Amino acid sequence: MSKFLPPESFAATGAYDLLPFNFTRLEGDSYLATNMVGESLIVDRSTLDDLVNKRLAPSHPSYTDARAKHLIAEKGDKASAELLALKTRTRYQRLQNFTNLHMFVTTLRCDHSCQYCQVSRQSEDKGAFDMTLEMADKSLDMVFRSPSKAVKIEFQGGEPLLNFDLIRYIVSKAKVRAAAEGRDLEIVIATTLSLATTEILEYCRDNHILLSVSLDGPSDLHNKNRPRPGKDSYQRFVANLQAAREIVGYDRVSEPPRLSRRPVGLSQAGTRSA
Amino acid sequence: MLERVISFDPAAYSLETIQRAAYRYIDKFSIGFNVKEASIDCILQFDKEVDDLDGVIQDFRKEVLDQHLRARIAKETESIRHLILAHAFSRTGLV
Repeated sequence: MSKFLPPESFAATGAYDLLPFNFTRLEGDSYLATNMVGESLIVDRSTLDDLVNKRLAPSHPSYTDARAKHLIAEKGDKASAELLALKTRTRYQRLQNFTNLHMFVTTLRCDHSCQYCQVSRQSEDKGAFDMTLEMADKSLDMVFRSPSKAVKIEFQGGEPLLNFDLIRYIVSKAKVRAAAEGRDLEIVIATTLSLATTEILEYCRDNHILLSVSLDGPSDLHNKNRPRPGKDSYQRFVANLQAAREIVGYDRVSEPPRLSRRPVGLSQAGTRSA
Repeated sequence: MLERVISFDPAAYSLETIQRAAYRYIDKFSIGFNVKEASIDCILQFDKEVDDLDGVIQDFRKEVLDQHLRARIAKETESIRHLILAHAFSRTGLV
């Protein structure tokens, strides 16, 4: 006796249950039906109606497709749901590690007043807009709740260097926790560089901190886009970029991807795209 | 502003179904509802750029029918959807 069932045992019976799917109208009478993992089928409206109302006959050309794409499962067929679960698990595998990027807005203060900035910038002298030690501790707790082996902390603002003492505090605590838990820790500071002192840059070098910087274009454009007291945003950027490369390291200073690989003025300041 | 009133039978379609359908036409008309026992009256106020009012209304009625079908599928497959998600993430700590 064969241990396999005969082919007839796998033939469609026409008795089926719906599996979760959604649909949208394309053009005219044409509909796109998609399931939880993105498998899709194009049918006309009356076929869709028959499918949902369980009137679709096994002899219909779309019946086999609907089974294969896991829009329907024959009565008693447990494999379809299990296969769909497997595909769902694969599709959403990234969720298992949650996120590895955590941004700390250490202050809303900034020495610049760029018109396009998405942050509700506060003036430089308002300490009330700084992240507190208590907030930092709670945020670190959240960072290390992530199951991801790799953890990246990015400091943003405002201008994060305006609250550099807090950056030191967070970095020291994060390094201890990362070492204790066997995590790979990467730290980035997104900065205009305008307030980058030798002491700050040496700290970044000693703690393997990456600097993320950006330039809007040549001097007149950059200074117009990024007004600050002294109207010297560009000049500070260029001077401090040079210092950052020398102290922190050429490859430790990067510019985020832009619309253009070579924005105007790039060669003047000598930055590179990440 | 051009205005039309169309009615649906509440025994056939829920207010939520009609509202869901209306979102798809937010660039063509604004909508108000007058819900009565025997009918759900939809007051459509068309944007001035819309010239084929009958065509838009016809499409809107089809979309109401589609939304009704979507709701049926979602309701009927709710338990299997939860089962699949629970099975998929059973070893992740996410469920």
